[in-house]
Parts: sequence; C-alpha cells; structure tokens
Amino acid sequence: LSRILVVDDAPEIRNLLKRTLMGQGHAVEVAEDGVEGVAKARSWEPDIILLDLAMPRMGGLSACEHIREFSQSPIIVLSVMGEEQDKVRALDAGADDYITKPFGVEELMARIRVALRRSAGAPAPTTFACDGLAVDLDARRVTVEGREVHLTPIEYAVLSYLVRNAGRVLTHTQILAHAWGPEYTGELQYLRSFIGQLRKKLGDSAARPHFVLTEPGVGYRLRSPDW
Amino acid sequence: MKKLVGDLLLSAATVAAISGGIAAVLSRWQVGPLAVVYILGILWLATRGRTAALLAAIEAFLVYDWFFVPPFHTLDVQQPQEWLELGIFLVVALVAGQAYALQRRQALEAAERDRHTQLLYDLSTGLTVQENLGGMFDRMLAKLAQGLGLSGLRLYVWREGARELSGGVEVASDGVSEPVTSVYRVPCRIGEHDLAEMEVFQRSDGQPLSQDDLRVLQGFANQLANALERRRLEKEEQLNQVLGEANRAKSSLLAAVSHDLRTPLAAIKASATSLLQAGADFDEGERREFLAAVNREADRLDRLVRNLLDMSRIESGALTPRLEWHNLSEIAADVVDRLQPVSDGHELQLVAEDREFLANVDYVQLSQVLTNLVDNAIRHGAPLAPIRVGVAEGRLWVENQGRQLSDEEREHIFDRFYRGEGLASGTGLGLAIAKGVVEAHGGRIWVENTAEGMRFRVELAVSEERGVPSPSLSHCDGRGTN
Repeated sequence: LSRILVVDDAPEIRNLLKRTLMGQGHAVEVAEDGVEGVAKARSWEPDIILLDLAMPRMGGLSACEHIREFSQSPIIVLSVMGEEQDKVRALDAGADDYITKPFGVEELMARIRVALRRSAGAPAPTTFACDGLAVDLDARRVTVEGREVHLTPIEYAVLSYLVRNAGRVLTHTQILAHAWGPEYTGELQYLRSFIGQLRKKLGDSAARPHFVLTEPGVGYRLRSPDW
Repeated sequence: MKKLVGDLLLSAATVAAISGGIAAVLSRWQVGPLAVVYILGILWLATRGRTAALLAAIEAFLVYDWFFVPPFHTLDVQQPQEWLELGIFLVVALVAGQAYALQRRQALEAAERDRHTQLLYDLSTGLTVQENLGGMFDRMLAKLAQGLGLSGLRLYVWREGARELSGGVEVASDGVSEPVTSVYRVPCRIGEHDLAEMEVFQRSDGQPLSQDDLRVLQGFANQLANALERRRLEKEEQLNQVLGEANRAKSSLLAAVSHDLRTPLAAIKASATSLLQAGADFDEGERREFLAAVNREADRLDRLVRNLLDMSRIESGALTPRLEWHNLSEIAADVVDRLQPVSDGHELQLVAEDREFLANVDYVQLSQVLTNLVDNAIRHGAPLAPIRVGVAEGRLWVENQGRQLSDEEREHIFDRFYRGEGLASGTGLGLAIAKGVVEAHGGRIWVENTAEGMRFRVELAVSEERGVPSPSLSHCDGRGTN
C-alpha cells in the first residue's frame, strides 16, 4: 500500500479524499496549496501525488514543475472542465495523468492504480490483451479476434507507444513527438487521421471507441486491460 | 512694410500715368483744370486701402503743382487763386479717397462676416447629423479649412487624459513642400472641461488670421464641444439602459437558477438525511437507491453550473471555441451514454453510421450543446417515448416525440430565460447557450416541428479540406508487423 499526498485548497475535497484513500488502506498526507505541496513532496516522499490545478499562492502547474525537479513520483492532476490547456501544460510539464472534477471515486482509483504500477519500477508493458485485441510488442504482432492486423509503421509506432502507457493519458504533443518526431508536434490533423485508421483496423467503433479513448482537447488513452 | 512699398509704387505709377495723360491732352488742347482726373485714380487706389489713397492724393497734389501749375517745375504758385484750387483739390482727393476706402473695407468685412456666418451655420447643421464621428470630423474640418483658406486643421479629442487624433485635413501644398506650421490651438470646452482641441495651421496664402477668422474657429470649437458632450451623454444613457437590462436579466437568472439549484439539492439532502436517520432500517437495495439519487442529482448540479459558466462566457464575449478536429459521432455517443441513466425512462437512440464525421469544433462546448438539446428533449418529450440523436457530415439533430411548437415558441425558444408554454422547470438557459455556442462556431441552429414532435438541427461549417496530408516517413524505421 502506498503513501499518497493530496494537494487541494478545498478542505471538503481534501477530507473526502483522505478518508476514501485511507479506507483503501493507503497512507495519506494533505497540503492546502502548491507551496505546502512541494514541501511535503520533498520531506514526506510520497509514492503518488494528487495535485489540484487552481490553488492560491502556488498553482498546480508550477507545483508540478517544482516537484519534477527532485521527484519522479507520479502526479495526477485534479482539474475542472474547461481547464484543458492547463491540463495539457501540466502533462507536458511532467504530470502523469489528470482527472476532471467532479469525478467518481472508482475512476480516481483506476487512475491511481495505473500510475502506481508505472512507478513501481516494473518495466513498461510490452503486451496488451483485452476484449479480443492482443498486442505483443516483442513479437511485433497485433491480432484482433486471432486474426493478424497489418499496420503501417506510423500506426504501429502510435499503438506501441499507447500499449507501453496503457491506461494513461498521452497528450497529442507526446504522441506526435514520439511517432513522427518533435518537428511534427503541431500537426494535430495527422494524428487525428491516423488514430481514425488505427481504430478501424483494431475493429474499434468510431462513435464509441472501446480501446483507443479520446481525451477531448488533451490527447488519447489506451484503455487499461484491467478496467 | 511690404504693403506700404507696394502702395507707394502703385500710387506713384498711377499718378505718373494720369500725369502723362494730362500732359498729352494739354499739349494739343488748351483745356481747363484737369486735376479732377486724378480723383479717378485715387478712388481706384482706395480699393487697395486708405494708405494707397492717401499717398496718391499727396503725390497727385505735388505732381500737378510741379508740372501743370505755372511757374512750371517748381512748387511755387503765381496766382493766389491757384493756391485755393490746389487746396480744394487736395482736400477733395483726401476725403474722397478715404471715404471710398472706408466704405469699401466695410463692404468687404460685411461680405466676410456673411461668409463666416454661413460657414458656421453649415458646420453646425453638419454636426447635428448622427453618424460615424470620424468621417464627420474630417468633413467638417475640410469645410472649415477651405472656408478660412487654412493649410490644415487637426482635431484632438481628450480621452482619459491623453490627446487622441480624431480627425484632420491637410490641404495639398502647391508642390513647394514647405512644412505647414501650426499657428493656434483652439480648445473645445464645456465650462471648465476640455473635451477636445483644434490645431490650426497657417493660411495657404501666408496671410495672418483675422479676428473674424479666429471668432469662426472659436465658434466652431464651441459647437464641436457641444456635439461631443451630447454624444457622451447619449452613450451614458445607452450604457445605463444596457446596465438596467443586464440587471433585470440577472434578477430573472437568479430566480430561475435558485429554483433549478434547489431541486437537485433537495433530492440530495433528502437522500442523505434518510440514510443518516438514527434507527432507520433500509435494505441494501434501498440504500443503493438513495445513493444513486445523490449521484444523479450531483451530476445534474454539475450540468447546471456548467451552463451558468457558459452563459456568463457567452454574455461577456469570452466564449472562444478551441477548435480541433473531432469526430461528431463520438461526441454524440458520449452525450447519449452520459445522459441515458438520467433520461427519465426515455430511450436515447444514436442514429449514425459507424464512421467518423470530422468537424472542427470545441469538444467540450459542442458536447454541452448536445447535452442541452437532449436535456430539453427529455423535459418536453412524451413520457417514455424514444429520443433520437442523429449525426451526419457537419450536421447534428435531436428529435423527440410529443407536442409541437407554436409559432411564438419557435420564435423565442432560443431566447434567454424563455420557457415554453405551461412549463415550470428549466432555467431557459440551455437552448440560449446552445445557440450561443453554435454561432461562436460559425454554425446555425434551428428548430422544426415534425409529424410526431419537434426536431432541433445544428449545422456546422465543414472545412473544404478533406484529405489529410501525409508527413514524410523517411525517419521511421521498418518496425511494424508488415
């Protein structure tokens, strides 16, 4: 079980999260703004940090940057609808994931599990199996219902990046930089179109994608096999 | 000084010419005193002013005496009666010249005053015309500059303590590019309050401005100040009206919102207190029902708050869509899935081919539009009848079964705070927001009656560019399954 630092200026949210997380057996510390959050991240060395974006004194974005100077513990950003650009900035500044308030506890626990698994030092997953889709990165093999799927090099690059980060949000910029190269990070429509093709090949629905999920205004997330 | 020299030369020339004429006449005919002829020249010179007439009278007196009164070529006079003649001539010449010059000047001044009065009148009638200020200023200034023969005029209006150039005219110089210099600054003020300032440039002909010119300028400045003040008061009045309207809107918003906030709050409070009751004995199913109600009503509150935020953004003009290419069917499916659990028994059906309908939209905002349309359909649909959400290329629609809309309702259904006939619930915000958002996307939203009920349609601008260019793949190695 893990040590979780909750940084949020709203006492209701702090208390609720503390009680919920302690109920799951985690050790919890709270901080009420970015400054205190950075200090506790340094002194208490949490395994994971839940970080609100809009806070007095120091907001989540700068707190995230400060924490990343000394800690690689996963950071999950707590934000509200409409802060998409701040979310993206936080993710690009080293946050691992985000969750939009108001959120269900179940969703939060899933995010925490994914983030903790990544930080546990285990190597990134090289296989993905879920509802008929199977990806084996070592064998460079992608099958849907047992049938092999042929992907272009770019599609494969995007998919393998998603598989290594299954369950975790990846920003448009991150995916573009990874699959195309840093000079293409502005070319959102490339990505849009390749994701469309990829979904089609994976037998994913265009309206209700099951595997490659859209995070509006932020990026994409491959569903976690254990959701 | 220049004028004096001119007067001197011209009067000398005139007197010389007339003297020549007299000498020519006298050489042929012996006629009586011809001195009177000089009077004509003096009157002519009087049109130039009193100095020229005065000089000419004296010159004529001297020349006549010198050449034509014996003994010739001296200023001496033989006969005493000739002294008298010469004296009378001098007096007549002086008086006639001065009187004519004076009368002539008064006539010119009167004409000038008339012209100035006309000019001021024209300008004042021009100022009362309500229109674009900048253009009006330029036209007025051009008229004034032309009327007074100025090489330029500029108008500066004071705005928050700083002078701001608000209009100006500069007469094209005649190629001699001598820089025009400003000679006056005329303030436009109301009481002690400076509203504007006119910068006056020298006359095109280099002459100084007369007192009358200055009076015209000041007169125009006063009219301008009045016009500016009137404009300011009108604006203030308009602002007050807008503020009053906003205030009323705010009151009705607060009334509607407090009602709508209270409903889910009441449900949450009731569920929570039921569960908290000491000694209450609920089975697991009942407990879950209370909790589900809390969950559902919290979502409803969330949607309401989001609408309020959107409304305030639309009102303040701060709603700028962050456009990205999104799949409309994905947005629609997302909304349908989210609202199905709170649809009061209506089945939400998604009508779309399973393919991508890309549109350049703000995902969050467009999903709010659809949420509001579906929410509206749930409120107004016939009980338990299905609600259909359709997607096609650049188009979305939401249709429900139930009553049809009257013409009046159709006209006002997208107005803020408008609620349909006989309906108590709803803030009257959802559809107004839908309209605001769709229009911020450059799209169109409207409602139509169908055979079974009503259908809201949204049409979004779809980019011409369909194909997506492929980036160079040269830096990618062959990692892949094929």
